[in-house]
This record gives sequence, C-alpha cells and structure tokens, in this order.
Amino acid sequence: MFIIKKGKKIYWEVILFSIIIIWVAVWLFPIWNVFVSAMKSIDGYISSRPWEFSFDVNPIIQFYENIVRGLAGTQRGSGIGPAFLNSMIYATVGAITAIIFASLAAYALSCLPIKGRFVFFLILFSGTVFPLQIYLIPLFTFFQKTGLYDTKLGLTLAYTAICIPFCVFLLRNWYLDIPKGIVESATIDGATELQTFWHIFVPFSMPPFVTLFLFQFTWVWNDFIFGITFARSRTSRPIMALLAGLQNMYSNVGIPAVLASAIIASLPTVLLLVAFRNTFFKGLAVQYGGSSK
Amino acid sequence: MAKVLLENVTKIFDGDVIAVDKVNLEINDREFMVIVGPSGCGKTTTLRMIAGLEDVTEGKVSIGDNVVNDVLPKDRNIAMVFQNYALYPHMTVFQNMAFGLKLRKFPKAEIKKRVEDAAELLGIGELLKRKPKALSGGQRQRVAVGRAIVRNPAAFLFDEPLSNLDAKLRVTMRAELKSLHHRLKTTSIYVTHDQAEAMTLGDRICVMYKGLVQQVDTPLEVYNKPVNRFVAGFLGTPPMNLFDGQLELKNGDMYFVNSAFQVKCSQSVKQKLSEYSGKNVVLGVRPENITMTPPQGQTENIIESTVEVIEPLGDRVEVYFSTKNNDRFIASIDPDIPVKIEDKMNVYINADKFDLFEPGDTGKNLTLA
Repeated sequence: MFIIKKGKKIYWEVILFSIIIIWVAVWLFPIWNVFVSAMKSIDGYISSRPWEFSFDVNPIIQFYENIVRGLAGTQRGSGIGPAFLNSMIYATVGAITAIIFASLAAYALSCLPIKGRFVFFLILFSGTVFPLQIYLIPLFTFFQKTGLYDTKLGLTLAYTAICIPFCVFLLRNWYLDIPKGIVESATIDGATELQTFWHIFVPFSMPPFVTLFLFQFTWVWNDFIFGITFARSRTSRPIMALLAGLQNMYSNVGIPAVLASAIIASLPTVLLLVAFRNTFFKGLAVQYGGSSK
Repeated sequence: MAKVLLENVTKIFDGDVIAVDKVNLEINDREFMVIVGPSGCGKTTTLRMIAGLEDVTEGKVSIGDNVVNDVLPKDRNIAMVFQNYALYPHMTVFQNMAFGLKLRKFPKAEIKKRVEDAAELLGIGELLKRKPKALSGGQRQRVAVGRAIVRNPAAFLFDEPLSNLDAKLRVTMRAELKSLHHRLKTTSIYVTHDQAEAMTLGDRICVMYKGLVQQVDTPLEVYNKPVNRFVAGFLGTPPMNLFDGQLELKNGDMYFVNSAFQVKCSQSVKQKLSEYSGKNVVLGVRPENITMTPPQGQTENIIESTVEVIEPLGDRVEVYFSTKNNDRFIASIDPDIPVKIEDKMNVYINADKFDLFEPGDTGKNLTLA
C-alpha cells in the first residue's frame, strides 16, 4: 500500500500501532475497573478509585467472597445462583429447540415443492424485522390468561419463538447453496425427504448450527426485557433480570459482589465463543454471502 | 436389468415451453444407448423423466414391464451418475457408495462386500476411507459410478458424466465406461452433447434436436446415413460441409449446381430425385470425402477454391477453403500433401460420396429415400 520508502513505512506503522493500542486501552479500561472492583471489600470500594487496587483485604480471597455473596445472596436479597441455572435452561433449550424447528422449516422452504413457499418464508422472516418491544404486551396478556406467566415453560417458549425467524433466514440461505444434484442423488439412492434432511442436510449444517447456537444462546443469556416482563419470582427469573436487582433498595450485596456476579454472568458466552470460534467464523461467512464450505 | 421404453413422452414446462416433444424410444435390455444433441435439445429432461426427477406431462415411461410414470425415483430400480458427481461431501467414499444400500436396509456384511467389489472393479479400493474433497476429478467420477454399480440396478442413467473432466481424462474414462458396460451388461442410458462420446460409447445413439428425436441407429449408420441435415451437421469433427444450390438436369444427367461449382449425381440419385429438378437443395460433403487431386481425366465435381487456414493435427491436416462465391468448407487431408495459405487449388468431391438435403435446418436427406 504505502510501502514506498523504508522510513515512511515505519512512520506509518508507529501511527497505526499507536491507534490500535489506544483503542484497545479504551476498550479494556472498563473491564479492568470491573475486575479490580470485584476484588475489593465494600469499604475498600468506597475508599479507593475504581481502577486502583485496595489492599485492606487480600484481593483474591475477597474476590472469592464476593462471588459467593453474589451467587448466594444475603439475608436482604437473593443471589444470582438459581437464576444462573434458569438462564442456562432458557439459553440452551431455547437455542437448540429454535434451531431444530428452524432447520426443518428452512429445509421445507428451500427444497420441498411447496406452493408459495417464498411467501411463507417472508412471513417467518418478518419476525426479525419488528422491534421486540411490540411482543411484550400481547405476550404478557397471553401468558397471564394461559398460566404461562412466571413459569420456566413460558419463558422457554418465548425465547424459542423469538429465535426461530433469524435461524430460518440463515439456514435457508445455507440450504439454497447445497447443490441440487446432491439432493437428487439422495432421492435416487432411496432417501425419503426426512432421510435426506437427516443424512445430508444436518451433517452438512454444523457450521451454521454452531454459529446460530452461539448467537441465540448469547442473545437469550443477555436478554433483560423478556426476563423482567414475563417472570417475577426467583424460581423463573433469568440471570440478567436478577443481576439488575442485586443492588437496590431491597438488596444489599454491595457493588463489588454485583461486579463479581457480572463477571460470572458473562463467563458462559465468553467460554462458548472461545471454544467454538473456528466453526463460528466459518458459519458467519454464510451470512455475508461468502462460501466457506 | 430391463428394457426401457418411452412412448409419446412429452414434457411441457410452465404451461408452454415444450422441452421434450412426443419422444418414442426403445432401449433394449443390456443396451448402451446414448442420447446426444446440442444444449437445450431436451436430452437431459428426457433422462430426468426416466429417473423420475421430472414429471411426465404426457406419454408413458416403462422400465421392464412396468409403467413408472407414477413410481417414485427410489422405487424405479435405477441408478444415476450426475455431471457434477453429486457425492455427499461429509461422507467417506465407502459411506457414499453404501448410502443407497443402507437406506434399503441391506445387511452390513452384504453392503461391505458389494462396496468392496465395486471399488475393486473401479480401482478405488485404496480410497474407501477418504472424503470426496481429497479426491481428484477422475477419482470422484469413479466413486459416482461405484455408487451406481453397488445398487445393481435395472438401468444406469448417466447425465453428461465426463464433461467436468479434462480432455485427456475424459478419453480414458470413456474407455473405462465402455469396458465396464461390456462386463456388467447393464442397460445404460447416457446423455451427452459430445458427439465423440456418443459415437464411441453407444451401441445405438439417439440424436435429439429441439425436443424431437431426429434419428436412432447405430453410430456408423447415423454417421453414414444421416436422415436429415441437422444430424449430418451435428455428427463428425470437423462437421459436414453444407452448400446451398439447386438440382438441374443437363444433357440427361442430374447436377447439383451453385454459382461456384457443380457436382454430378449418380444415375440412382437421378432416378430418385427427378421431381426435385429445378428445386433448391443443400449439398452435404464430409471433410474426408474431399480430395486434393482429381483422378486422371476427371473434369466433373471440381471446386476452384483458395486455402484460408491450415490446421495440422499430426495424423491429418484440416484445411479451410473458400469457393469463388465465398462459401467456406473444410477438407481433412493427408499431412504429406503440400498446401500453403492463399494457394488456389482445384479440389475434388468424391463421386457419390455426398448427400443432398431439403433446405431448412432439419431438411430431410433426399439421397436416402
């Protein structure tokens, strides 16, 4: 690009790296604050600046104590422990169920001879277009009338349904790229439509499945608004709803414990992304029309 | 094994596009039938109707003694080899070949035996554990054929199976397919646009054009006795030379005449075509039936022409000529004959080694009548 003279090249590199380093620092600064503050006692937190360590107690031991406080709660408030499990159920079951239904729908919409299948696709796809808030009131009324309000089943259903349209959209694109000859070959080999789906499409779809799982898991895990709208009790509220309620007029776990809980709450999504990053980026390429098969 | 019969088979797409028009074709048991034609002639659609991948709009398709119009592809007992191989990318070669048998619930030992036998027959025994992406084009093609063989079907359907291979490999695989058919003797229907494949592989060939069957016969018969101008022009490399002109009676003899030259017809042709005297016809001459030196004392059938392009092919030379009225034609000649660009030559059309057609792209061959 701009590599003409050696001197000029170094000059540019210095500027480039400086920008990158500043950028990274800006991003890391709040995270640093969170980690440092999570290792303080309540007194230490009040008496020191957010980015400074406070050594009135051993930070490692205090960090551990803060995590335990955050998970278990105190006499005056609940911890995020049960909600962690709730969210695990919502995010895992919601994402997987959505992918199962969406892949079947995407298969039908891309490969089966259904009249007007594009119209069906558009109807499903419209689910990704509207802001989520418009579902709140109708769903709330519906859940109250059907007894699904404040139940694990109700929230799982809501999360699953919200996840399906985007999954259908992505998988349909992926399936349209599968060469028609392979499908026909399976037909002649004697596969029924369901067998073709199971033996050909499912093994072929692992990259988008992983990508979608990560996307939807993260979305459900990080959701706040559905959690506070459709659940009230500790037994069914998801983690983000509880995290928000850790420090308020009814709860006194303290800011360091809240921050320690926030770290715990962000662990699953971070770990998942690290574990599946290769497949994730492979699947991501589909969305933008790149073929990585 | 079984014979395949098409009776008045028609395919109409979207209500008005006639892809295949009342095709009647009988493929005998154990026969290797090649359906050949230019792209869009309906050959692949015909094959797909036999396979059951397309519905038949009208007519009957029978395999063996059964009409299969309403039978699902999987129950037709046929196997198909696709142009792009259509191997399952996530399965090994073994799994690819075993898939059809597995779905039909064959016992494991039987599947293993059949796959291994087929792999040995095709020389891919070493590759059974590999995935398709680790195979070369030729190997993939063999796997695709293997997948068809293991099923032991009533008929093989091939849809341009060699067209994705490079020229050299195509010739090798062509020979392998031929020897495979010789050993297995399974009824085969092979679709191609490559007339060399058609000529070399087919017990009989079926030439299609614009959805219609033009001619069905052995390769040599089709080459030597094309029923119409399309078939004549389609088969043969380089293609048959075609000249517009008319028939005239002169001094009791029949001549093909145009503004550049004239060709004398034999007595039998004259008798057959007496009513065509004065009418427009098309003269067709194969490049190998044009000689550079007329026989001694011969004054008929000579074209004054100029050499335009010379293509040496080693065993022969293809020479492009133009006539006085700028008709171009090709002669295939011995490489020892000296020719240079812009040479003026008197070339000779071998007596009676030509055909006469009615005008029009499928004008019938008048010399056969």
